[in-house]
Amino acid sequence: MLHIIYYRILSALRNKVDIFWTLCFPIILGTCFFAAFSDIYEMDFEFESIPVAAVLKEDSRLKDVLDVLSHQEMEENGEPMLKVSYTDMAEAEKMLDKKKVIGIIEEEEEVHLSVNENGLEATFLQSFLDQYVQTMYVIGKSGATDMSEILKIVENLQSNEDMSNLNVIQKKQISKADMNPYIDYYYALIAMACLYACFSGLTCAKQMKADISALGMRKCLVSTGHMKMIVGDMLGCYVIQCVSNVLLVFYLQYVLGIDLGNRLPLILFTAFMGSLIGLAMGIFVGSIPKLSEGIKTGIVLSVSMFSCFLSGLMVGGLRWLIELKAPIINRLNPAAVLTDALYALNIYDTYERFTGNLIILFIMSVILCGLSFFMVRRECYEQL
Amino acid sequence: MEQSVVKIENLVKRYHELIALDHFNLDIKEGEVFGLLGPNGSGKTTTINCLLSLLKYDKGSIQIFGQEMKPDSYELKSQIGVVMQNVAVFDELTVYENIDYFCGLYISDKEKRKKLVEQAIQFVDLEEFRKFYPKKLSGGLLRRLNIACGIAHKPKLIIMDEPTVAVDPQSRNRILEGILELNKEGATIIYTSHYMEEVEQICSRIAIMDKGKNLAIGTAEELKKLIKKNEIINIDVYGLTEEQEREIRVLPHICDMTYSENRLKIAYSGGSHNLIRLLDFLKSSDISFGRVYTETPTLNDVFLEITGKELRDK
Repeated sequence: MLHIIYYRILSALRNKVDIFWTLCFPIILGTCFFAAFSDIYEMDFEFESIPVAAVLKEDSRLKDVLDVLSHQEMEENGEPMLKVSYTDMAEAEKMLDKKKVIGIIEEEEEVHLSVNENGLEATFLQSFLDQYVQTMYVIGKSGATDMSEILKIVENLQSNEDMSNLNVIQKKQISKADMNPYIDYYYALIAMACLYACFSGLTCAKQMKADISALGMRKCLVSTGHMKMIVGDMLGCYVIQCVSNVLLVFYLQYVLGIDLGNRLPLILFTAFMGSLIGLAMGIFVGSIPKLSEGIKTGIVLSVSMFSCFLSGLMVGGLRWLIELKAPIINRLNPAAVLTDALYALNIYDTYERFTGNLIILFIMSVILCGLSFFMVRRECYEQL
Repeated sequence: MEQSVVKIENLVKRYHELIALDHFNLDIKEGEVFGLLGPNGSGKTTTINCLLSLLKYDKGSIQIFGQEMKPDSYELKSQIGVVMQNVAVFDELTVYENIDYFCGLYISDKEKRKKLVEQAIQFVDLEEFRKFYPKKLSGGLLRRLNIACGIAHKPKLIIMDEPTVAVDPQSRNRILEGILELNKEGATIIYTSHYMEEVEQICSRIAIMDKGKNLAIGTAEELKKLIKKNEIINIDVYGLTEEQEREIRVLPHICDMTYSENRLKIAYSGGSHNLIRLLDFLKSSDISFGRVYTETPTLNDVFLEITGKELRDK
């Protein structure tokens, strides 16, 4: 077994293309993210109260919420989050035109936000309103009328981590981590680096298939068992992948100075679990019979990239949108599970959600590895 | 009686409508260098792949060393070395490392493996190239590395599927010599090729295949005896008339004769002193002639006569 692991590591280390995609590409992408976001990020630290005009109904519940946000001071600068001017629509429009406010919150049957130009503050206001609308919808659905019942529902919603992720105030209170709003990109980047292990997994599987490669044919004829070969190859790749993960996380944390949180060992453990699912995915696709090498590569490439896309690597916040509209996708998407595990690890004091994510990853890995072995074991081909 | 190393009975393999192996039979004895000769597409590689349990087959039985071969017959596999048509090595590993890797998949003892790897390197004459990566090797050297990876663990049965395709003459000779050396050391060898000269040179017994069937089996001499013509005489003859041609045709044992561009080619089906008889006739008929040379029949002639087509594509 050690013999197989040793040579797998040796050949992987000498494969410049693999090393580029496994290690260099995530580091380069991380550096690009850093270059792109650092200015905006710095700006965020000079966050000032967002001026906003509110045109509300008389018995508005939204007013209570806005009052809280316009009085509660933020930890960083002691300023309230919002500076709300309650006024009528005509005055609000004038204020917006003169750029005295960022936007107008208008409450009729529904709540609307009007802004003159897009920006971080406008995005923040929109996120806030989205969450407010959602919370009110849940309360409305529950049929609660009594204030104590409503408070209970709000409490439940806040204890529901999915919802509280959107609650900026709550997030501030319990977070131990840097509130870099772009941290999700870095989590998605780590998830992507982990999932890139699927290419190593695919290579391992291809080299076990007599109908795909000459090496596969030779390996099918040796006296070492298939299981031992797969496990040996997989462990070799896993070692390389874990080392790459460590280097990437250390690079982000210590070279670029991205605050990934104070639970670095657990972040690394999450990345190692991510690499396992990445490898398992690659081995699974590579083991599917009767598919050509090109199709297998295409599947692995598309699945890994699409997973990363859905987890928010290319479009920030997409994962949250999916969480609201179709949460099952986030449970099944390994990149989203990984990103969420990293996020949960650094945002919440409890490990419930983090552990849940890791269990999902582990189960996925075991199922994929089991199916892969089942497919290649005693394999005899119709055609070579 | 020599023990059967490989025994194939009534093997049938279909690729959809195409019958690749049609009730194919084979019995290879211990210590043989057995040649499977046939044109491309005749079923040689399919036979090997079925033999090694890589391919499913529709009917028949295969036994190696008296045991049924299955995909998980690891004990049997440890006694078999395979050199496939396509080179199967890791580009990222050196010559030494490649041989060591594949040898290690059979031999776990490190010291023993080290010796075997050294022997394999010497055997294929790659000492100077042990630290070279495969991409730096010429086609011939790469083939030698491919062979070393397949035989380093000293198997009892070595299967070589066209190992000399696209190899320079020097490397080809080295490979053929090596195969005979392996045989002398006790290995039984199955050698497939469409190069009849190679097969004739090294194989103690040959099976001629076409369309998935075993057409003939025996030593090269035995196979040649199967066909009518056993001697061919070529003579440069000038101005042979039709009358004279007819007279020559009725000479004893002539089975075929052609005359074109002043060259007379006569195939004999047997007899002795055919050349003397022919020269006597030419002299007595006052026919002037020049260069004279004779040919013995080749395996291609055997194949041609059995199947009506050439063994090798022209």
